[in-house]
Amino acid sequence: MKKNGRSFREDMILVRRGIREFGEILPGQMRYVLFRSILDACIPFIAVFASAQILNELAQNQRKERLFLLCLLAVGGTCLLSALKYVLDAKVAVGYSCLFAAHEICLTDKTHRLPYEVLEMPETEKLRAQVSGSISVSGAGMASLYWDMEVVIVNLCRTMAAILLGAGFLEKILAAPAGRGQGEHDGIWAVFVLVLVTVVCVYISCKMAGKHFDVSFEVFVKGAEYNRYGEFYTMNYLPDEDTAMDTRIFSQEEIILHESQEKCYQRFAQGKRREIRAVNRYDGLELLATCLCGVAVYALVGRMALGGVLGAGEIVAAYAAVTMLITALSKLAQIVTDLRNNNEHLLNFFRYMDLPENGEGSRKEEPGGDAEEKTEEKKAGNRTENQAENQDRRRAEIVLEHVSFRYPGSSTWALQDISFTVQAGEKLALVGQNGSGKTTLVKLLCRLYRPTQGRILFCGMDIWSYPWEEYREKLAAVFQDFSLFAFPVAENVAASECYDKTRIEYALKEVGVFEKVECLAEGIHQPLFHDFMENGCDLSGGEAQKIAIARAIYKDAQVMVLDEPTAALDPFAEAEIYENFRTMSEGKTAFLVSHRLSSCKSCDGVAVFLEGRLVQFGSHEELVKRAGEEYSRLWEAQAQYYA
Amino acid sequence: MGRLAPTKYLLRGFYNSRCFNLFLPLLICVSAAAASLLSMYLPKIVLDAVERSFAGRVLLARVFTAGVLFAAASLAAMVLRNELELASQHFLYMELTAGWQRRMLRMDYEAFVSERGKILAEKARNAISSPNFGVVKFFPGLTAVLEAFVGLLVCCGIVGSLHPAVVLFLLLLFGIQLLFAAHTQKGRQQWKEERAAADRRLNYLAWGIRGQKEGKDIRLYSFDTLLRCIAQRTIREKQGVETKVEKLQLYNMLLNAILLLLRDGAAYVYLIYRFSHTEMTLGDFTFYFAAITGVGGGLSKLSQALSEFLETERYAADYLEFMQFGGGEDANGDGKISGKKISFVFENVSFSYFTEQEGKQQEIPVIRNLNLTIPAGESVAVVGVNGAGKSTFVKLLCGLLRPCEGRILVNGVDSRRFRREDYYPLFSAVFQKSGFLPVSIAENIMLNVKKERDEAAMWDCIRRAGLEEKIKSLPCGVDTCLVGGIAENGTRLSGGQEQRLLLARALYKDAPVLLLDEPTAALDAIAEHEIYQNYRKMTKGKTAVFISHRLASTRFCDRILLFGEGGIVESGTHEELMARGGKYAEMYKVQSQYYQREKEGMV
Repeated sequence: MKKNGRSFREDMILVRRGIREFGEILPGQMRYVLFRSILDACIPFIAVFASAQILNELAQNQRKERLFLLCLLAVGGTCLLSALKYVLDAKVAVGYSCLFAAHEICLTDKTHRLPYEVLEMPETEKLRAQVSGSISVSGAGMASLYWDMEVVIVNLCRTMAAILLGAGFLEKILAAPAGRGQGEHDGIWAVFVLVLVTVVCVYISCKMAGKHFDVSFEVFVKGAEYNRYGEFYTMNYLPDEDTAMDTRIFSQEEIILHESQEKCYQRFAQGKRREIRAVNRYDGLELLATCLCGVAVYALVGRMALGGVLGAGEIVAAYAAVTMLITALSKLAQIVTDLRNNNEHLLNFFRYMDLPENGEGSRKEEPGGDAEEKTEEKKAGNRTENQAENQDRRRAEIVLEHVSFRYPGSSTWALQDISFTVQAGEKLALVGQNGSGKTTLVKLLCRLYRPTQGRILFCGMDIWSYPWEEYREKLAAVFQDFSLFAFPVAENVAASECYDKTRIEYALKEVGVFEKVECLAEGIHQPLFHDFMENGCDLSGGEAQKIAIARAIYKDAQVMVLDEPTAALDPFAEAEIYENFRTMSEGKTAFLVSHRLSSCKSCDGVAVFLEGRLVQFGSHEELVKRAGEEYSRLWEAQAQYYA
Repeated sequence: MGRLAPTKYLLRGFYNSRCFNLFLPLLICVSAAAASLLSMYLPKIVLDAVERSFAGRVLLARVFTAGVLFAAASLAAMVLRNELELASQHFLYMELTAGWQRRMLRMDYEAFVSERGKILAEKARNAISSPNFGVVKFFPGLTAVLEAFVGLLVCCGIVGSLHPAVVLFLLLLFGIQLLFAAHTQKGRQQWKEERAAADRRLNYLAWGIRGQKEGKDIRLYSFDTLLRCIAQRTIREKQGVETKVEKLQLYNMLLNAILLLLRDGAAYVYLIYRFSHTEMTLGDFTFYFAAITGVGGGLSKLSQALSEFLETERYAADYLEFMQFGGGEDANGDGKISGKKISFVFENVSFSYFTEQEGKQQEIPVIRNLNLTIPAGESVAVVGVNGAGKSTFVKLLCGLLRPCEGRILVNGVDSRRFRREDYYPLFSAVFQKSGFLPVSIAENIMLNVKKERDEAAMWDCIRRAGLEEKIKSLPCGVDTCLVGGIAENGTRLSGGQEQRLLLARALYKDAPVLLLDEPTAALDAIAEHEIYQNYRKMTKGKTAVFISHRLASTRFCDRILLFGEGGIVESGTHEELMARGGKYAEMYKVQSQYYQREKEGMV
């Protein structure tokens, strides 16, 4: 039977993969769930079995020792198994408390490993939002799998136990000698009717169970979609200090309330209404069937007991066995439907986890392995001889050969036919109007995007032929939209928990933020912000930017890239950074993007971009004299105010 | 806030949302009690019939009657419960969430940014964040308490008819259970802070860092390794804390298992004794046994339901506390401004932020004794180093913050006398950081600031902000939605384009006072120059304040205010300040030295 375009077998294969990957999120957790569920399933049967025996014993012999033993079995057995179950409960609860967070962390870890261009694709972001959204709205995906496995195991066990109990009981009916006023075949007929009633009821229950889950599933899927809007407002837009100024000054109340109601909450409510209607219809029928089946069992078994075929204990046990069988099977049917629907969410999870990873692409591109060998050789050389490294450093020149670039899905060129060479140790300023391609070039240099045409050479080799891990060590960048984490200052600067304290201090001094850091209670070990540690400190925009620059200095890579490093700084701090720019980048090849053209003077060369093309290349002194051309236009626009 | 205030608040709200809502819990109680009574009674009917050898017909009639009643009661209970769940969620989405949003939008800005405001807002948001827990479970929780109580009464009645001492015995066992549960609860309390800290750390790693906007730094600096390390450690930490808490719970549960053993064991012994010494039937035996377990189970159910309910009630209290926090509904202001000429006078204005550290309130003064007059129509430039209080000054001016001391006169009227909805319309602003709504560009510009949408004016503003070409190049033009990733087919703009759009929005509002806080930080030199060129035109007839690090911007303003050390250090025109040779002149020299030298070099 196909569902969502997949056969049962295919669905089960997905479930198996899900269980395997769940082990990555919370190792060992599934095992606890398995054992706990088996116990959970068995516990009620002890009481059912023992109490039936007690009733029989009471009705017939009333032997004291046997009654005592049966009572002990009923209460002692239950107590023992419950105690065991509680121990496992604790384990499961501990794991569960981390489930949602661990799930997100697992996804984010994958996000870190995506190639940047994949990360930036809208589809990737959408997929991530779907995976995270469905688990946060309804636990769909990995969390559902986890809950469902528990239900599957419990009900499989219960089904088996109920069948065992029922079989013993049927055997008793069939084996019993015909009682007073009963024909020889009455027993067979009774068994037949009993089984028939049970089967019909199980059929109805299972049929109905699935249906409500289908509706719920549809509602969930849509809910995750709407949730995006709701969460945007409640999590991002409304709690933000900056947007709170906009909402007030620009009276956004009406539009925000209207938008979030219309695009999210009204739809949630409508979905819930549909779901509840379906639940009422299908679960109602199921409940009705179960109740009536129970009545039928009582009537049939009671009649037989009247005939003396069965004891009092069997009446109770038969009822328990049949109702439990029905409930267990209909739950199983429900859960299989749910699992199969849930596979849609799991598929999204797998899709995300299967996205390509950094480094994969570059290796594929070099099938011959020549380049890799070369780098291996070079690496070996570096390790043995320090001198070689120095030489390497000197050779850290960067050559762009006819580099053109189009963003994926875009039809216009962001960069077109860019060629230039930056000698090792040279500083190059990249200037141009907004959207002229400077930041794009920075991204290409950082190997975040791959040139559509042409190539970028570092030390004479295409940057894409280096292993990613190796290339990223050669480069330190400060991005316009840098980010700091709520960890200690030192970890932010070193990007690691193992760091060289003196070098951290040096880097902080270099950007002029050391005094501020020194004043903090824990110095460089002081956490930032309050998200991770309560005792964190707040930073002004300028301080944050300085720490981001310190990070690049600490990395001490051969190439340094600064993209608008001073946008948040006041004139004094800005001047300080530019004064120090040459010392900061001493011996390194450096790129500097800035709207402040004054910074070009501290560079050896200037590359001027206009609409994705390199229009001028030369030193500041040369370029500024060429009146009417792009660079002098930019320069004049700014300099006139300082004349 | 009284103990019952949250309950009253929600009951009133739920009733107002639909008055039938409040009958649902009662109906559920009745039907559920009937169903549980009948489920105990059914086996008794059968067993009694067998024991007394009734005719088959009588048995069938009785079982059938009881069975149908049982089915009907169960069905009714189910449908009613579902109805209550639906009503609760409807209430959550339509009333509670909307209420929270409205509060977020209306509360005083200083309350909004205060530490306490943020905590309360977050707690309230958490209380209504899910259809699975929090305030949404208030009414189902209340119903569960009532239901357990009624069920317990029924069972107690049955057991009491056997012998009142049995009820007492059951109560005694339950008392022990409660004592131990209270002990466990107290034990849990001692881990509360450690748990909260572990949660905060874990939540930051799980939801604070998404890897999207941090993507570049993570890749270039191999932050992924560090993050993985910290995440693993944090999960272990959290599991460690939870293990401690669960251990307490485990002891509690083990004791419960022993109590259960005692209860059921005693019940068997007592009933077997009664059975062999009195006229008790087998039917009675099962019936009473079910009733005894029913009392025990009912007691646990009641205490469980109560504690769950109290938890949702705490959520309700969190919600209500936020809803009553932060003012913003000042209905009794009489300040009114008519006309387009606005002047400001600051009289001894001081402003401090308050932060709480280790229980002590700390005052961080930002502005001290500021005296300033801005005549109507003047254009003022505000400069100063980072942290000099420029942004705070702007917030004070536009009424987002109110002075701690002193007053601000607007056309001679104290700003406190204005209602905020009369005051905010006076201002239009471009703030340093702003967000956009996931709606069309047109709606983002026009919002609801004017009674009628004025497309022509919108296009004019887009043109003046230098965005016309970009917007026309978009496939859906001005109807393109912003905030990609949220809005369907939403687009993302570059930093410069966003800033221009903010400018267009500010221009469209066309309020008498224009505030610009670093409006050109993300623009290139030529775009910046264009904005400067048009600045005079933009601010014509308006009172304007322009904050910038770029001292060039001061040239086209009537007056420059240099902020420092919590107040105005220097004030005057560019020429005056340069002549004075003070702080401003120094700053100007630092910034212009490169350009200056160049000029000299060229000459």
